[in-house]
Amino acid sequence: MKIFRNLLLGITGAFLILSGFLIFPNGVDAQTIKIGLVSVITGPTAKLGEDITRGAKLAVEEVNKAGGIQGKKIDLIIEDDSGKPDVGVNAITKLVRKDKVFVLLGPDYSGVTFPSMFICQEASVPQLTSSLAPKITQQKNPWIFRLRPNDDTVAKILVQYMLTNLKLKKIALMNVAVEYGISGIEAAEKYLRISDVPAVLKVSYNFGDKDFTAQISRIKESGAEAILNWGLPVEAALIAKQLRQLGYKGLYIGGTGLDDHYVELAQDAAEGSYSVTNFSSEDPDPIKQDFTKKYRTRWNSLPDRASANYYQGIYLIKHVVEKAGVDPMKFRDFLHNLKNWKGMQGTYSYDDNGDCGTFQTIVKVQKGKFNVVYTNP
Amino acid sequence: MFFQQLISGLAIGSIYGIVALGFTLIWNAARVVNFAQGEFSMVGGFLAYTFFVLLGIPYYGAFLFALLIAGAIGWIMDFLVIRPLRSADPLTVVITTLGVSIILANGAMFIWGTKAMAFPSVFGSNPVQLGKVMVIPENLWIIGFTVCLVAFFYVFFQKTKAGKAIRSVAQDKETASLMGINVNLMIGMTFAVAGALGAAAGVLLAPLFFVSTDIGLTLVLKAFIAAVLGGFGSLQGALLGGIILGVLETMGAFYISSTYKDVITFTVLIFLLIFSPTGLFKKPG
Repeated sequence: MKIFRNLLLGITGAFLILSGFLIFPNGVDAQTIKIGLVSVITGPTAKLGEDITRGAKLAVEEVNKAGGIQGKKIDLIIEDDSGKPDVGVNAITKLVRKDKVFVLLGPDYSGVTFPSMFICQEASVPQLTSSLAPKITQQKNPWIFRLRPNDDTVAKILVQYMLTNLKLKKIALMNVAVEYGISGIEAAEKYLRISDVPAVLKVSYNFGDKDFTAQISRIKESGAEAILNWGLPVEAALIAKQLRQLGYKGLYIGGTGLDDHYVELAQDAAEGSYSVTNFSSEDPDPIKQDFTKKYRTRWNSLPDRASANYYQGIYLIKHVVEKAGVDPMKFRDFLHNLKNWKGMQGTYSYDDNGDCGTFQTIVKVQKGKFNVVYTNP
Repeated sequence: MFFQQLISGLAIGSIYGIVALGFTLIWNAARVVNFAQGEFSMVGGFLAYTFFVLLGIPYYGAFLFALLIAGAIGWIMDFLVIRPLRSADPLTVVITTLGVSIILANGAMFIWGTKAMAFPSVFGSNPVQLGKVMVIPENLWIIGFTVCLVAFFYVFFQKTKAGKAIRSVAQDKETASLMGINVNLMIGMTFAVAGALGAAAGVLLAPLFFVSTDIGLTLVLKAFIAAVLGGFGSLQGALLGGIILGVLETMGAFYISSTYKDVITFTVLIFLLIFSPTGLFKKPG
């Protein structure tokens, strides 16, 4: 009797386990589709994680209310990477191996994405990241995709604007010594060299540095008329303030890291500075304003570039599943071939590497707010 | 350019010196390496932010309140955590102070959030031009405050009874208690003073470097180095060590490389210690 009972239990158990694998692919069943989100939920930049999860949750709520994706509700599972590679590896492993998500959104930090993208690759799970470092899509990984153009594209557009529209000739380069800053400024340096306007000086600083007197003094000595800083909000704001304090009179231009938090911290010192972004809530474009309004109604705050990426990500997933179904291979192949898809942020055209196009906006701080001065389609 | 870097280095060096001073006071009085010293500065900055920016209390009042509360935190830290471990293994105590620093840092994040916040400039953010050098009023305030602090401590430790009592506890705990000095009270007071000193550094930093929860670790490391540089246990050594460290950092970043600023600073430190292992100043008696 006991043997028979144990055998029955064993067969039932095996059947239940196998049925999960055989009948439905990873993360998808009759009623739900599991989407994983890994982001900076805790830590000094937790606000970024908050913006990201709010953007994603808004989209999930909208999609689920309208019936879900082909009748299936989205189950958004969120894990924290704290902005650190080791924590990120654990978080992503959990989402991919334990929760068995169908697709992974994130991380945002290039320094976390680069060492952890092998996990989704090995598990054949599509991964959509907002990270900017160009080398993420240069690893011949067929499962990685971007939610916004990479920093090589961003640098090209920004340098073009600086040379053509702002007519700058003597440019000094600054960057923060993390993956994002190093690869971003390298790209900018490359495009300046190609255009025959090499940088007059290149200095860098560490994440967490507070005093930039040395760097600014050297920049002043070089006679630069503009500074391009590939940095993150806190240091960028400190630099803006210290530029004023040390009597620098030229232009201050930054990469994507000069966001709303930067303006909040730098206050008056941010006036007249330029930044480049995938999205600005001040953009008068009606589609972007519609998103801004919905976000503000739901969360009582303005969306920023991070929120837009992940809101967009959910809708992108919806589009691909509706066209290609829930087979991960078909999802991946369809996305590689997706061209001219009009998303909220811009027009997405994917290539074999997973890069998504060239949409980007250049903004200038005027009276404490970002004003759009140039849009690249 | 040299003087520009010098002024900047003196200002940041004064901050390091003040934190190092608190750190050394605790070492002298209780033989404790206080890893939470940097967090006192972090808390001081946030307290000043709360009083000055959120509650609208005038700056000097906010400054004072921040110092008083940080001093109270220092006292409580000694009372709850250090005193019970008076006769414990030094390593145990060090790890405990590390634990306190984590509690303070995360507690601050819990209370004030994790975002860095701007602290308004109190003396005006327009620089004053002296010859070819641009001097920010804030830097002058920092340097001036430190000079007054030095004078104050000299008087306190040399001329007042409480100051002499603390010094005697530092020299020899047993004999001091035989002389009728309440050792626990003196050590508690030292922690309170160190807490207030740390907070003062944090408030002075705030308009320059924003108020954020992550400055604690960097500051305590710099304080430790400054204390070693000046001769571990010497009060004037700690202050001067801090100033030298600040100037070294700024000069190194300007004349050699800003990317390798920390590498340069620590390399010089290593060489200085090889040639003068007890630091630059000997601890008096």
